[in-house]
Amino acid sequence: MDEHDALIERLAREARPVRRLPAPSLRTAGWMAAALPCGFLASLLLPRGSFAWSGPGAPWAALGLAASLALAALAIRTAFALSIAGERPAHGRWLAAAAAVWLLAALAGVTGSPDPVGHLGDGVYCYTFMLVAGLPMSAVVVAALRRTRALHPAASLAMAGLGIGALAQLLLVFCHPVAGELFDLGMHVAAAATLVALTVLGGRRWVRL
Amino acid sequence: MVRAQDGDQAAYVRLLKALVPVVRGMARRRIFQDDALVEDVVQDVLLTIHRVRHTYDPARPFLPWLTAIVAARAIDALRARGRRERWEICDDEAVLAYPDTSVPGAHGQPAAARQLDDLLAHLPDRQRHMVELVHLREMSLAEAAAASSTTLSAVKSLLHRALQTLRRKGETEHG
Repeated sequence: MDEHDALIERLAREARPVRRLPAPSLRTAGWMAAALPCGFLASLLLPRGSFAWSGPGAPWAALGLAASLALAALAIRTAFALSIAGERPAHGRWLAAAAAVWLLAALAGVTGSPDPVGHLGDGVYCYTFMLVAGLPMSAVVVAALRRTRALHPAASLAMAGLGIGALAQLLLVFCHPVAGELFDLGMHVAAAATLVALTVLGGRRWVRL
Repeated sequence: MVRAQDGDQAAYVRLLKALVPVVRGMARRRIFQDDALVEDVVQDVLLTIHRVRHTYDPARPFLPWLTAIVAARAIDALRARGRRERWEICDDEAVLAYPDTSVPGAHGQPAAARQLDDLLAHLPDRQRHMVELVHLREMSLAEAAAASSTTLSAVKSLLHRALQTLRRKGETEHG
């Protein structure tokens, strides 16, 4: 008798029918449908700025919004795919392209601003907004990834954190002037990086196998 | 695997038993000259398969799914072994040169406690910790699970693997 037979017999006794996972795209859509309202409701805790799609920066803001949505969907789908053993997410180039488009649109928006550089301290509201909107979404993604667990939790959670950063940015667009400043843009990036770090640090314990 | 996912226990047993030599072969390609660690990885892979069996997609080939699990578990085991070897120092001469005189019978002849310590030193950290909680501090399985912030089934599996490792160690020394 093989030395692992006792363990195998025990595992088989515990084996019950399992519910298979939906495809990563469906999981992504379901997650976004659940997480976006959470982020939006959390963002209501903060005073909302004025929102006007006018001025020369408006097309760039719209492009940035579309890029944020694409980046969020691709990153979350990649996070779900990474959590499954043997899955090879093939969206690396599209992710990089979406991130590049978002950055270019943001920089183009900065050039249309009357004060392109801004001042130290600009963007504190944006940073706070993104964290307040992003943290509930981070909890939702950890709960979703906990269902599958992950062989490589750090990679999966980092990708999920990137997607949450992009979604928080998307929500921020609706209460943010279309023309930005460099300091403000830096705070957006810092908030996304903070969300990635918090998602990895906070979720690792719950997601690892 | 599809039948195992549907709850067919007999099919699940056949599958896991058939996988043991395959997994062992895969693990040996990554872990050299350490059969005990390879067997630990085999058990870890069996437990992992059990825990994530719902993530296998029947529309996809089985082998890449299995290979990814074995690779991740083997790397985890190698990292854990590396950490142990980096932090733990085993200096038998120093231990014999400075006996603990506060322990009756520790000087001169090997004490049971020292033999026990030697045996437990061969276990990975988590397995040793669990043996200490359950068998030395006489905690119940549930208490040990609570004390180590883990699940009951994880406690059982750690103890099972610890006893397997100790048994293998005993057979190597006396057999």
